[in-house]
Amino acid sequence: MFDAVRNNRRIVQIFLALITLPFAFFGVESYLRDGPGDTDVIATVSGQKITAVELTNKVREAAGDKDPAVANTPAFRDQVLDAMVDERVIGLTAADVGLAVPKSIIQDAYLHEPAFQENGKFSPKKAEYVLQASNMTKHAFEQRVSDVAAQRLLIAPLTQGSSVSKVVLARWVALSEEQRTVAEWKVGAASFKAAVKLSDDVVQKYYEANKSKFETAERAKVEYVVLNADDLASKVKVTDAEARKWYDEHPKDYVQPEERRASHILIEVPEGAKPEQKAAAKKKAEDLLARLKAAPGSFAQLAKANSADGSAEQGGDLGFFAKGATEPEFDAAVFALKPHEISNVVQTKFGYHIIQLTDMRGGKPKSFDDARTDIVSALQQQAGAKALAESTDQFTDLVFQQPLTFKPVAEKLGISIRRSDWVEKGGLPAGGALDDARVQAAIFAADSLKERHNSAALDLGKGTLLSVRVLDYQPRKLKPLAEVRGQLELQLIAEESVKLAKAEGEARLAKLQTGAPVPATWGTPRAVHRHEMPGEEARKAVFKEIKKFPAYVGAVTPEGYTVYRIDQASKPTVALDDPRIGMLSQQFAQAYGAADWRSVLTGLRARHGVEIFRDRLAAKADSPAE
Amino acid sequence: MAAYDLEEQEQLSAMKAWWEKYGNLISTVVAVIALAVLAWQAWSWYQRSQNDKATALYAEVFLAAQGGDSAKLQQAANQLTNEYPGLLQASLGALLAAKVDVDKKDTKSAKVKLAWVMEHSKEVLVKDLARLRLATLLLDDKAYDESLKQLEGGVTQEFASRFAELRGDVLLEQGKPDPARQAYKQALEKIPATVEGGTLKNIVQTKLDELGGN
Repeated sequence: MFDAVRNNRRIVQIFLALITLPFAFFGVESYLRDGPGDTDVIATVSGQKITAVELTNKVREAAGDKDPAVANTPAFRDQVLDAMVDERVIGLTAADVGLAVPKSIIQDAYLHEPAFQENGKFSPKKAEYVLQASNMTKHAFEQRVSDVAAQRLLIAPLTQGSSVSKVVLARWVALSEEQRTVAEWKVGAASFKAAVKLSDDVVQKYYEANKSKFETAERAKVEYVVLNADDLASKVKVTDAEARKWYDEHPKDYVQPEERRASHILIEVPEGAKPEQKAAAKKKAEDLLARLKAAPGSFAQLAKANSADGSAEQGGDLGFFAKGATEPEFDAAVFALKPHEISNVVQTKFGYHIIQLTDMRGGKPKSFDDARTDIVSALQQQAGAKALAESTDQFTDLVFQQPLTFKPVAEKLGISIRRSDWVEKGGLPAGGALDDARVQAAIFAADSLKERHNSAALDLGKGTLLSVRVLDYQPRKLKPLAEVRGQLELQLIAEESVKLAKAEGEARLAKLQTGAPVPATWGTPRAVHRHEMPGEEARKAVFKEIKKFPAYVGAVTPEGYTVYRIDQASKPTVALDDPRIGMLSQQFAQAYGAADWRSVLTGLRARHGVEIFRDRLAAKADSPAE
Repeated sequence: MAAYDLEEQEQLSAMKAWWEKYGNLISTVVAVIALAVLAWQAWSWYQRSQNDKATALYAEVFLAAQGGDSAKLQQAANQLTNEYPGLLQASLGALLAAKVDVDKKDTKSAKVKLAWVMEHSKEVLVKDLARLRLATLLLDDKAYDESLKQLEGGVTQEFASRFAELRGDVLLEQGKPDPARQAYKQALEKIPATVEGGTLKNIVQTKLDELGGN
């Protein structure tokens, strides 16, 4: 063996060199990392992958507390995916031009993130907890902050400041204020219904050509079991002794927050007051304090006469409030006072206060009897969560091991087996556990329909596990012509009668336009704006350029066809300093700004080679996410 | 140290001969590669530091524009465009500064800044955007010919419809409804099929209807 190596030394050397080469360029991790399979990649941006899992997470995040019926639609998912792609494109562009967001901005955002605050201050513990709960590292959070900041830096100059010419806006105001006086001669479609003769042939042909419109949805009847932490909790019995033990061990949890009642006298110091004004106010407050010291019983009287606060009427009484509810200096003073004690002069941003503590309540432990219901439900919830954790494996195993029945799992865990009526694929939510998109996907997955096995245990969040099995299934089915004929005929007759009305209307219009006398029944002439016309066709017809009055035009309207006689046009002249221009200017600038930004994004997308695999997206939607 | 046996001595002298022949070449190659790597590293370090400095200045412009601190904005924008004219940050800063100028009705300064972006930006999309804004300001100055001149020439397809629409607006102001109609039609054809484009489509269509075109 070693001889072979020695004799072929050159070959071995070349071989070794070849092995080391890839490491030099790609690093070791590309061998170790278990990258996503190709079918899991939904889109690529400059070769960077967006996976199905990332998309699912983002959709869930974006859906928030939106109606699941909206959040589960393909349209919503597409929207989220588009936004993700845009985000990547912007990120890459920012990186290309070296638009690295300064560290100071990121650190600042970290310290001021509202979710990380406790009592109005940054709390490292809370930050850690929040990040952990949302499954994010500090680095990932900073990355996100940096992305958002980079986006804003990049977007602002391109969307803001697309000014719109004043002369264009003036024209726009004029044309939307323009009025035309018109009289209508309506040719109603309804009156032609009787004249429409539908041959069997037409109905049949329409049915054949539009079969997909007459299909019933795919549907299934299912059986399912739900394991739920709340249900488990409600079964837990908590004895008095257990509750008492908990109460004794957690005295701090069952204390009513302390509240204090105080009265005050405010000597106001307006914002931006001069030093001598301040000094005068302080002097006045100190004088009052001296008088109070001499006669503590006169607080209410003095407050009424001197306080600048709304509470003066009530002798300065502010009622009960908790710690932290008032200005910090005020708060500190109130909670340092003994009952009926009067404070020294306290300065806040409003001015100088003299405060008397009048009453206190709370701050004492709740009695066991008062706390009992709280304790029982807390202990039940704890036990429920624990029971769920213990039963999860059992549930998962049992639905898998005995794939054709839920009996074992139901008996073992004491849960009931439920049956559904027909569930339509993509149908309206019926209320209940089956509405979840993941459950829908599990029901209508090809495997599940074929094998009729229990689905995997689906984790629906909020401590709920569900498994479902198909009992009965109906594929999409074409409704027979006999069933839909009635409605279809009505629809076709309506369409035909509009055509007849249009033909009749156009004939009348042609006659009118030649100038020949026509016995017409005109409605009362009235002045209309552009936006008052029924539909685009009528708007265009009535507001087209007219050289000679009266002019005759016509258009299909919701009721049939209408011939219009235009008697007059009046277009206002709009000056460049018209106030309406200012208002429009903002709207237009926004519309143009948004379009410009979209154009820039389109250009950047093309440059970064964005590829979206729509077919995979559709396939993913049909199979369960797990 | 034990003497080398014959075979080893032979190998040793072969190696020596080989090194004498190729030694210089190899040393040179290694040295050149090392230098190249070093130079490249230095260059990217330099670029990064330029980028960072420009970004910091741009962030100043951005914050000043938001806070309405116009003295600081002018100062930072000037420094940015003077020191880093080739970087995108400078173009973005100039665009923002021009926007603030327009808000303050100082269109003269705004036009200078937009012209600067057109001249210096390496990003064609940003350049077109500056051109478009400049042409709009010229239309309000009633400098129709100059405005049209800005709108002439090649434009990225993303902004083609915006250019055509504005050309229509200018032509209409000049009292030339026929070419204006043509321009609006062109704009309609080139409006991108996006949600944002849909809004513009309605606007241009209405302008076209007004001129009696279809």
